[in-house]
Amino acid sequence: MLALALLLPCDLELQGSVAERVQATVPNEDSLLSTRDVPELLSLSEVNAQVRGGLLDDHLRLGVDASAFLPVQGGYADRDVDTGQLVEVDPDVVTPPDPRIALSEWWLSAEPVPHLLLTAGKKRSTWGSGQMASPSDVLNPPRDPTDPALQRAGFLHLRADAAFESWTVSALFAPGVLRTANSLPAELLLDDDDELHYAAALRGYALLFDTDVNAWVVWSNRYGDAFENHLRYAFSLSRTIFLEHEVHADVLVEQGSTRLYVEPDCVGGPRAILACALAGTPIADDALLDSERVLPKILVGWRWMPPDGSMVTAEYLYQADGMVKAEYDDLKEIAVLAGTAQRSGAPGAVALPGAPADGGDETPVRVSFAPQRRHYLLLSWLKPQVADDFTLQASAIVPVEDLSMLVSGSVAWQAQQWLTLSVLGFLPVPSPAMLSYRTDDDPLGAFYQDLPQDWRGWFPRGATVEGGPHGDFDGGPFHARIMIEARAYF
Amino acid sequence: MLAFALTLSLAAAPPSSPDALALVRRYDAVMSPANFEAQTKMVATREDGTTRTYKMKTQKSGKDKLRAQFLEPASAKGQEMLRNGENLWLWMPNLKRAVRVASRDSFMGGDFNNADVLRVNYEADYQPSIETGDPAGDVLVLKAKAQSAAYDAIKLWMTRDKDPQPIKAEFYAASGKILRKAEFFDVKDFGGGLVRPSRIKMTNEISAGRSSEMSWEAITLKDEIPAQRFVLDDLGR
Repeated sequence: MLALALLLPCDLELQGSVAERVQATVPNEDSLLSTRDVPELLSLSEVNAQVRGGLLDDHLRLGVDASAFLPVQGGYADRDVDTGQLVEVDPDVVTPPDPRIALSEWWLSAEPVPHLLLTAGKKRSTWGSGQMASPSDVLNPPRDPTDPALQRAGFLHLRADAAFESWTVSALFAPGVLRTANSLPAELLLDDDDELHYAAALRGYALLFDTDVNAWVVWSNRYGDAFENHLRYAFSLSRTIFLEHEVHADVLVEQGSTRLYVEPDCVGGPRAILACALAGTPIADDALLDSERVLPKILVGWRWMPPDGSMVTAEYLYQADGMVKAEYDDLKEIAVLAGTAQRSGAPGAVALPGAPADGGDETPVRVSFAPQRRHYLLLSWLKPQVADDFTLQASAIVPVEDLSMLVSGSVAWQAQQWLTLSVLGFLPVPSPAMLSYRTDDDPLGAFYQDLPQDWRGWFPRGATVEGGPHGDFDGGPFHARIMIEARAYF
Repeated sequence: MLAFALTLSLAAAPPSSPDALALVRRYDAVMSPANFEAQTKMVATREDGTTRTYKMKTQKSGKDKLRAQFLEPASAKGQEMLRNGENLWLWMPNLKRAVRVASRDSFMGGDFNNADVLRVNYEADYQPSIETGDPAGDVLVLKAKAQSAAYDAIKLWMTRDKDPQPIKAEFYAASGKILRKAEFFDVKDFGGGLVRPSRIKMTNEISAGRSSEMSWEAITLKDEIPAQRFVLDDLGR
């Protein structure tokens, strides 16, 4: 379709960038899962091209956003099962990633009559107002919360918008892409068992009293998750107040959840797992899939935009289906066993419930993140034009229940109008519970034990598993990660 | 004494002195006509003397709708800004969505703020009065009607002739501190009866050595620009 469109008389513009990223990672010997696939050194080269323009006197518009990636990596280390120390891993046992092409967007859009906009293809459609995370966004590929300014990939859909001065009505149909070949859909909508995979949405937008108000419903069947004939309600608001502040809310309301919870009977060591295997009990189960419980996900946020161009954002994310401490304890315990199995050479990959996706055929994310717990705080700060050409940025993801965090920071230098040089760092900060465990006298642990039972839930605690308590970011694959990137625009 | 008397007689404006409201309307009409498309260039000069150049296409509809699409440099190409009434959004191509921005934020890091470029409607935003004693021209003193205006006060010099044109301006904070100064140059006939300055140099009075110059390469007056060009869902298309 798009190739055919390119044969028409057109007025196209090409822009893009060439980038080289060098990344160094310090592996974490306390990582719950094996780190043997995590390269200590990675070079990622990217050529990005974005084509946009009008065809047939602008009656048709098209957009393409494509990147070619060439990864080269080396140096692997993992914890030795016997000594607990990091040891070098034979690179021959690691399968390095292949070069790939990511088609983030490719779409055609037409305006057959004034106010009616038709769009077909792969395109990002974002109606939620969350900046670092958007719980209502169930259609786009997952975003990288540490990189809110680089979210290019969309999803395949047909969309119609009736857009007027201060309100819009949209209808959307998205077939599930079941298999891709060369980044293009090779199998969609209907699987081998004649099951349909799709999502359909109806949305209304209004600019009401200077507030962006979006409300939409999504009906889906096996679209990106296990829900069948499932209805979701979503709602978002965004408004500027007191000139320099923006407040927003991003809400998803649905019955049930596809989150996988570890079966408690399978927890308790290898014997418990073996017993589950013999009894045919799955270790993890989407126990709330058919539940009629209403389980909302709510994000509320505030953004401050002072006149110096800087920006401070604070967002709070609540997930009603997020894991409580007991469920999280079980997940981490299974993770410990899975890690041990990996390091002992267990065949096949070990996939944990809720493990972050790597993005598949999409643009590689810098850090992947799948929130498992109920409460998160997402913080970011951006300061442009420092000494004219430098931009400073910092962000933190904080699971409120254990107060571990992932902190990231960057310094970007716009050396030329066409060239940006950046240094980025990622640092998991241990939870107070983990720090307390690592000290001899465990003052926090003692304090916690002295608390009345009813009060304990108010204090942050990670999961209590072999190797000490673990917060969300305590058992991650690296101690620190640093990246240097050069990006030249054309 | 004679000079003092002359000053007094000039300050006490005679009945035939220019009407402040009419002069503000004149400024809005020449600097921000109702419906137009324009090609604009902004050169920002920094303290070290180096410059950054931005090119953009702007479209305006009515009094309070404006859309700016950045064409250069490559690192900003594809970005768009939209104003609808009191609301300003920035569409980022790498984010593929629009985020709200503040009207007093710097416009692309230069010395204009967003409202200077996207919200030229002095009649709506300011209460005008006039000073007639300045030989350089009529001086409009504009006081902000609401906090949403770009500045708390503006002094604007207009030529004293049949078709007044802006000459220079000073922009003030609530404290009375001067923030920026503007000079208007090169009055040009853009066609369709639109004659106005084609360049504005904005000097930053807070950071010495910084200034930005906006120049209009072409302005095409339109009877109407479709309303759907000024809605969020049309950005990035």
